[in-house]
Amino acid sequence: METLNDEGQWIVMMGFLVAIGMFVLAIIVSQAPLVGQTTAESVMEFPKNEIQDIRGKLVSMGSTLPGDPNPNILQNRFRGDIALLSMSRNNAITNYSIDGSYWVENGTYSDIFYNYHQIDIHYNNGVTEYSESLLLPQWDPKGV
Amino acid sequence: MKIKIIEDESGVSEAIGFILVFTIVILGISIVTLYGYPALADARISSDEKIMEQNMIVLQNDIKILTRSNVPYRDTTIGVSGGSIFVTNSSQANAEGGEHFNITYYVDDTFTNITTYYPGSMEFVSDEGTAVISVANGAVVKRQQDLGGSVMVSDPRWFYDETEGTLVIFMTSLNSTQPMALGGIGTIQMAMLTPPVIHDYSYSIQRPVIIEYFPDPDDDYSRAWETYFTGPYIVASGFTPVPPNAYRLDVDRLVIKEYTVDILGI
Repeated sequence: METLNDEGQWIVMMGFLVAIGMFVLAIIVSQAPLVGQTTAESVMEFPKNEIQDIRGKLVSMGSTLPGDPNPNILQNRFRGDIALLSMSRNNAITNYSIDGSYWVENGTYSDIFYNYHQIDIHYNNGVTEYSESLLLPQWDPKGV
Repeated sequence: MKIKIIEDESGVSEAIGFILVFTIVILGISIVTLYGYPALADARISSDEKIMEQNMIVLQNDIKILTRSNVPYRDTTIGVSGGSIFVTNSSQANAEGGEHFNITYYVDDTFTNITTYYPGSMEFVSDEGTAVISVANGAVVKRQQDLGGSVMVSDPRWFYDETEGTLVIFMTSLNSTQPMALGGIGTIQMAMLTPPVIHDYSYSIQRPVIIEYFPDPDDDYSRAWETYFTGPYIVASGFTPVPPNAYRLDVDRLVIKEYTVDILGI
C-alpha cells in the first residue's frame, strides 16, 4: 500500500504504439496498387517500327508508280496488299490515298524541279492511331 | 490560513491498481480478437482478390502477346492465393451450352452469315471471398458469387477505325486437352501454334454487324459486355443495343480474327 510503482507505464505505451503501427501498416499493404501491365508492354504497344516500315514502302512506291502505264490498277493492288499484310502481321488497319491531282501532268504542288504528289497515310492498330500527309516528288524531274 | 497537504496514500491499493490494468489489457485483447481479426481477414481476402485481378491482367497480356505478336509459346508463373483457377475449354463450353457470342454479318453485299464463337475461359473462384474473375475472349471480367451484375476489369482489344469505317474483332478461344485447375504457385503454359483465321469483308455501303452475347447461366457476365459494347470503348457513340442481348454497329469493312490458344498445362 505504499508508493505506486509506475516504471512499467513506458512498456504499456510502447505496446500500444507498436500495435497501432502494425494496424496502419496492414491497411497500407492491403491498399497495394493494381498494376498488371508492365512498362515494357506499353513500349511494345507503340508500333514505331511498323509505322516506319509502312511509310518506307509507301515512299518507295510513290516514286515508282508514275512510270507505270496502268497506275490505278497497280495502286489498288498495292493498297490491297498493304492492307492485308498489315492486318495479318500487325493487326492494324492501314490505308493510303493519293490526292486527285496525282495523275495530272502538272500536279498541285510543284516547284521548278519536281511535281509533288500528296500521299495520305493512315494507320490504326486499336491503340495507336497515326495519320500523315507527305509530299513525294515525281520520278521525272522537270525538263530533264 | 495555510493548509499543508499531506501525501496520504491510505486509499491507494496496489491490488486494485493491478486489477484495473489487468482489465484494460484483457479488454484490449478482446477488442482486437473481436474486431481486429475479422478486419484483417477481410483485408487479406480483398488483397488476395486484388492480386488475382492483377494476375488475370498479366495472363490477359500474355494471351495478347501470344496472339497479336506472333509469339508461339508463353509461360506465366502466378501465385494463386485464396482460391483456384479453372480452365474451361472452348469445346467443353460448346457442349455444355456455355458462354458464347453470335456474330451476324454480311459476307458480301447480299448474303448474311451467322458465326458462333465459344471462347472458353480461365476462371478464378475465391474460396473465402465472393469474387469470380475470368479471362475470356481477351477480356478480364469480374463478378460476385450469387449476385447479379459484373464488371469489365480490362477490355479486349476490339476497335473501330472511324476513317476507314472498319471494325476489327478479335475472337480468342482457349483449348486444353483435359480439365485443369491451379491452386498455389504454378506456371501456366500457353501456345498458339495454329495461325489465326482472318475474315475480311468490305462493303460498298455501310452494313450492320450484330453481336449477341449469351452468358453461361451460372456464370453471367452480360452486364460487363453490355457496358463494353454500348460504352465509348470501341466506338465513341457505342453500339446500338438491340434488346435483349444484341448490339449493332454499321460498318464499311469488317475484320474478324480468330485465335486459338492452347493451354498446355498449369
